[in-house]
Amino acid sequence: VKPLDLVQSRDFPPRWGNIDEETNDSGIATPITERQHVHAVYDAIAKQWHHTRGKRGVLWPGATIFLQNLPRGSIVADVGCGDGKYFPAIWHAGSYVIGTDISLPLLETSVGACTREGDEGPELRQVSDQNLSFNARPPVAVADCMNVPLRSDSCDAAICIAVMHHLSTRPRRIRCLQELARIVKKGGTVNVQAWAFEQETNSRRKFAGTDVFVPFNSQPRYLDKVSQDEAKVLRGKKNQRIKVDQNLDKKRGK
Amino acid sequence: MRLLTHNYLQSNVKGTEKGYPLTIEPTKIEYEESPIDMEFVENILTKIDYSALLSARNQIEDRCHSDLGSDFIVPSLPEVMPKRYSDGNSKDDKIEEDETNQEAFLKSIHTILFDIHVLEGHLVCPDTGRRFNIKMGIPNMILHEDEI
Repeated sequence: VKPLDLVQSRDFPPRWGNIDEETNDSGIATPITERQHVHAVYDAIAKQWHHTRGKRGVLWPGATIFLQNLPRGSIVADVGCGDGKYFPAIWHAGSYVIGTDISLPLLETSVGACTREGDEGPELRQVSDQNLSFNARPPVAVADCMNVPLRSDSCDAAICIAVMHHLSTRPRRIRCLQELARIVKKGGTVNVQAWAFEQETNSRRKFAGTDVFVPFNSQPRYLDKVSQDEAKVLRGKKNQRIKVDQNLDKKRGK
Repeated sequence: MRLLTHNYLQSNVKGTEKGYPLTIEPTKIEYEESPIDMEFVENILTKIDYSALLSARNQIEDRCHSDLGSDFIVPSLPEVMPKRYSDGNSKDDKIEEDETNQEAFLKSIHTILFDIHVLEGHLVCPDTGRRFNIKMGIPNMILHEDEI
């Protein structure tokens, strides 16, 4: 795994510059910052991501209820499906999912990710015998949410969870919503969830701005042949104040 | 990639009038038998593009013969879906028309939709000829910058 460059900034805490300059004419092409600090990061941390969030079946609020309320036999698109952690809930509800994500390493962690009901393993990530074959070969494709490769008006429902806050420009966020509306048939439902700028007063999360990086503390044991110093990577995300890592502090002190 | 997934996939390359259905050029196929849920299959039939399924079935047939052995037979499908499924009518409409045939049809559909996996190969846009590759059963549908 190749280590990423640290973000250099004179501001303290470091702030993300005006990203709009980077967009091209069509307005929806991937900005360099997203490619470096979102796409490349997820590729690099895929295993750790899957182990710490996917395997434990930590789902965003309301998603399970939304999926359970769909009629049995629904076709559900999971746009930005990551390691497929919503798949067991969809299969359990008797529906069929097609997942897409920009990160191939993340998609690869979805293959065979679930244990069989009754076997040892995280309870939230179990599938019945009926669904074992889905678990072995999850229906996924590598794709950008700017161009979801599904035919129009084909799905009964779509979910798009924890994706929008990685889209750094307004045209891109609008395009993502347009794609979700396009692939879902009339009368179908879409569930979109993302980080909010507003947080409760007693929350340990405090957002200094709307466009900032969130550091991801990668654990070296999940990375191959990367030293501890090099293993500090930053993940681009809206709405969270950046934490300055130890190395930057020391450099600044000099 | 199952043929059910393929039934939904489309090419969005800029300038494409209709990037569906994608032609399958399989180079590696696997068969994995799975339990049949008859109700699920009947339900799915009302949602798929049947003619796209027919052509997909034909496109993978040769590779199935070479990869899955001569014992394996890809179930054949009628040119037109039995009326009771395409209309989405209730089952009471034509009672017990021909149960054996119905069951056989559903079993064939199940095998073709769920149990045959294209692990490697390409999906080709019928409009632009753009090729998308499939690896580990996962199609890569990412477009290049000039295709958006």
